[in-house]
Amino acid sequence: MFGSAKLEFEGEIVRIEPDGFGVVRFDKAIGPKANTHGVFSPSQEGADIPYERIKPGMHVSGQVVVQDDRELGSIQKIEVPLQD
Amino acid sequence: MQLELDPREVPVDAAPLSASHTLSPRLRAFGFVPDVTVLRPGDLILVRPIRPTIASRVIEFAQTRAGFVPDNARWTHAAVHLYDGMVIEAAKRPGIVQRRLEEDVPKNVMRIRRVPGFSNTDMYEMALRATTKLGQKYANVNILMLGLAMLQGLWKSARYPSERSINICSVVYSDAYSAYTGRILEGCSIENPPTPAHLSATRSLVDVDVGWRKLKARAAWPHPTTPD
Repeated sequence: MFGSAKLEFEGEIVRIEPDGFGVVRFDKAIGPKANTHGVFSPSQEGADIPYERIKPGMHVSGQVVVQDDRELGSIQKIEVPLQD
Repeated sequence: MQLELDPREVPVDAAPLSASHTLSPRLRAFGFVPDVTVLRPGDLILVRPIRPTIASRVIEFAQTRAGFVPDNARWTHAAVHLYDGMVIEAAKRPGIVQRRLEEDVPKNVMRIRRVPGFSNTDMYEMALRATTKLGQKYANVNILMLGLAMLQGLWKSARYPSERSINICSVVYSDAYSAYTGRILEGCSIENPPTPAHLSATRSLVDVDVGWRKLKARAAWPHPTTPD
């Protein structure tokens, strides 16, 4: 039983909806379930998402929680590189 | 087999129901309403008009060209049930709104789908996440780009316009599902918007058998909706 773990990721933001729901496509599959995508939303408690600085197409890094029963990682933190 | 709610097949011996709200003269004349007491928050409602409109024909054509079988391609609209027959949906104008399910009666066929094994709490959580899109605008420009991508066939590597908002009817449901469960509906993509045909075809959902109720001659307003 793996449970869940917080891991580092790099990837591209592929969607941000007006309600704040967003999707990141990871550069490399992450975790034991080989998650290829993570999602974020304003309702995620404790998540650090700099909405005012991110947009679709942007390459970002951050932290994601992956769980062994979920296909999508739960993005906890997004960091925007200075050049973006 | 798809379980449909078809107004052309209402049983004359349907159980009576007192509506707790005002109803249109057209619906009162029809005399039957879907049995919303069977519905749960977070249920998916697929809709298709009995007499196809220009818009529904275009959507059905695009979904067929995209590679869906006719049984799935014919569903042209989707909504999410909230409570007591209230649904949330994306409409071209004014955008994402709340309205009553009965407004689709008797000109449309409906089909109710649900995530198997979900508890009441799960269903409420799904419905709550769908409401985060209330008031947003419909993705008019991107729906055209989506249509063009579908005409090329979704079995190819055609890409949707994912760099802008993609608020269309079926996305309200699929985003709520993914945001709550951390999963992707089987046969759908998290990057690209699913269509009503995707939601019809996915094996992540099962059909719910919802019957008709016969309207009592006089509404019992303001009492709540209850079976007699």
